[in-house]
Amino acid sequence: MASSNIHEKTHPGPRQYITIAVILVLMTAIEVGVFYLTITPAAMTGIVLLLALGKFSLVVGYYMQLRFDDRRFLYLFTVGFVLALAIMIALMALFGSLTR
Amino acid sequence: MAHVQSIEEQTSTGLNNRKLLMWAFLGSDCMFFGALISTFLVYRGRSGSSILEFHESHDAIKDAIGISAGGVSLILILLGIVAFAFTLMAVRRGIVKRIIPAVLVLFAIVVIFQSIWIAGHQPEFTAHECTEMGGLVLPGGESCEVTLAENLLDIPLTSLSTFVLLMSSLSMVMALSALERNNLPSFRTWLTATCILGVVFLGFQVFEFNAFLQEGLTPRENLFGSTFYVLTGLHGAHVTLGVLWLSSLVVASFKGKVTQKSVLDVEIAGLYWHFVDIVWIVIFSVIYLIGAYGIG
Repeated sequence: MASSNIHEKTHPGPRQYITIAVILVLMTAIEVGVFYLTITPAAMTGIVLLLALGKFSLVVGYYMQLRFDDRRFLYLFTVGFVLALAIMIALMALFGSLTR
Repeated sequence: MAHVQSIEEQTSTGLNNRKLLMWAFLGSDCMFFGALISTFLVYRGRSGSSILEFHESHDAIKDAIGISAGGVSLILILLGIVAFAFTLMAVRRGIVKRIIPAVLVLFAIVVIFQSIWIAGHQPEFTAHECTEMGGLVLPGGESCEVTLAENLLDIPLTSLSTFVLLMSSLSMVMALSALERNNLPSFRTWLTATCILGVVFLGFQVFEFNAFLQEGLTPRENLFGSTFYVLTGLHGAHVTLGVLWLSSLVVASFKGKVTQKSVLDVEIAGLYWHFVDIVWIVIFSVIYLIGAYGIG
């Protein structure tokens, strides 16, 4: 039978959560703003992907509390995420979408 | 930073098995969505053109009751905002049962209105709209040759739905934080807000799908239609499941089954909800913004 033990964890509080939400909204606003700029598609893609990665990391790190949780959860999720990226790159390379 | 007392089970790994399973599931779901997103990107720009006939607009709602569908929508949106405010207030005061009949009636009206609108509404399609979509008016001036794809994506509308989903993630963590502080009324309010925001997001998706169908883009129309509906539809299915899961927690909290001891249950549901959010972050950036850039 599994028994239980109680221990202290440090999590962000409501104030930090609201700060992160404001940052997420601002990053989304910048993304949409960049969409309406007349720049090269490569530059637009780079900026939007960078902002998306930032938003992704903020949600995973703070809202999903991966930054404060056991590292093994991080490793488990990272394996899936890296495999997903590998699948995407492999599929797109296979069908010539990376060079189009 | 808040210090939180948590109860962890002693297992062979030292980690809670349910939480471990949820993280393993989310990792595998990354691969699932990765495959769908890359399939969309592989077939991007490979959709053939469609021939659309020009036609006058038709509003079944106006025919039936004399008020345009837009007017009814405005009234329903205002009623929805009032219902939203009353629901949050009732949840906080613990008098949900009193307002449930009114909210159900409003919900039924919205569903009936949507059904009639979807079945009977046909927007006007003119030569001007054809050229705006990047199409070609065919000789005779009665039809348009256009590729139904990224030119249909509505960035302002999707930006708004993205904002709604981001806010639902905030309300989810606020609900968890309230439960950790053993503040049950606040927990119920935030979790109810999360459910409502999830439903609003789904409403945006239904609206978008309907707009696409009105333009003639069905899942069978071309490669864009097939890959777009499968990807965003499955994301919508994930959101629907999340709304049902979180709603069940709200109901359970009123029955006294969710207490401070249930923090882990809520945290696991929250992990799922935030995952739905991060998938949408990727879809919005890659499919909508990058996909539609330089087309509109």
